[in-house]
Amino acid sequence: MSLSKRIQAVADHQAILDQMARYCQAVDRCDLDLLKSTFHPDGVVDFGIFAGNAWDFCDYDIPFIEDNLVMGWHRFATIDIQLQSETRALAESYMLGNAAASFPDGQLINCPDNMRYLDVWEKRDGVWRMYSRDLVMDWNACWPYSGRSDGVFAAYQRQGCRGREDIAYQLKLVP
Amino acid sequence: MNQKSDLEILEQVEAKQALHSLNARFARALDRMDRCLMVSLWTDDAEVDCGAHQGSAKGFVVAVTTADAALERSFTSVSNEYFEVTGNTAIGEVYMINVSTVIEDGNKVDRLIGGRYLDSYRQEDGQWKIAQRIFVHDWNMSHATTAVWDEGLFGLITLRGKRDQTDPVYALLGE
Repeated sequence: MSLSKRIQAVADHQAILDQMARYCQAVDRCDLDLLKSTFHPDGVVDFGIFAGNAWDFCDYDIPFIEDNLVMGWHRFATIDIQLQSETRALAESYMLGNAAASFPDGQLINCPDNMRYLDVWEKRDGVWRMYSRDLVMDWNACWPYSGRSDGVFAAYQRQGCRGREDIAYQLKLVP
Repeated sequence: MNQKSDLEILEQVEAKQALHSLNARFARALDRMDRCLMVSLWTDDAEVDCGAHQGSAKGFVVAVTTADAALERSFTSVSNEYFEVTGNTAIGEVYMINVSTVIEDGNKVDRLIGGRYLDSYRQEDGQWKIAQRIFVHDWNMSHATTAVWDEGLFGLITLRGKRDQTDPVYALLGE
């Protein structure tokens, strides 16, 4: 492989990692435009809660998260990106998430969830976006919610939140 | 001062990306009990120091890819990967968290293990492989399982991780 192709492959690998991080920013901040920007418009997903066109999924998923989860938090690691060509890659990544949900009676539960994403990435017009993403569930737990905001936790003055009020936007870490 | 050439800099970044992928593939081989993949990740003379497994990696490879009725699920996520590359060899420290569901005295228990892999790697025929792996145990915890598979939001996620080649990842990547 020529030097310039090798440099391009290294950059492609990094560009896909960046977009994987963007995806987590988008779902945790419930940012629909950002979420759509990680998928090609003709992309497809199978998340169980929704299977079909990727942009339709985005339109479905953000209100779904807002309606069903009090909090969502996604942390990905353990990433295997396999470049198939200069414009196509396959990837498996592990996700360790945490979510809080409310029962109809108001009782809160806390659910750590371990999932994997199985992706096809395509570079079109110089930008890597997902052509497909499937969600695989490996493990979860359902614990009584025990988050607190008193005591030592009162010192945390920066509380993560949904929407553009999250400080990551002010710091230009999210477009 | 030892000035690195552009090619040496590129080779360093390529090696680190390859070592990230190697560790992700180790996680896949372990969690899916994929013996063919697991065998391919080690040099022929590789050594392990991983708990009950001491010495040649060959025994370790067979043991961890043999079905164990008491181990129902396994999720091995690595992060904090630090590598130092010198030519065709490298060393690395990789944090891992393993979440498994095990059956103890007829009861399902979620076992979480935090630790580190302290590794030596060698590049053979262009492929980076593990030449030595020492597992350092840092912490563990055990909880009665509370996983929800068939109800609520989790019940909607229909793709499920498997400890064999029926796992959905093989539909994406092939065998």
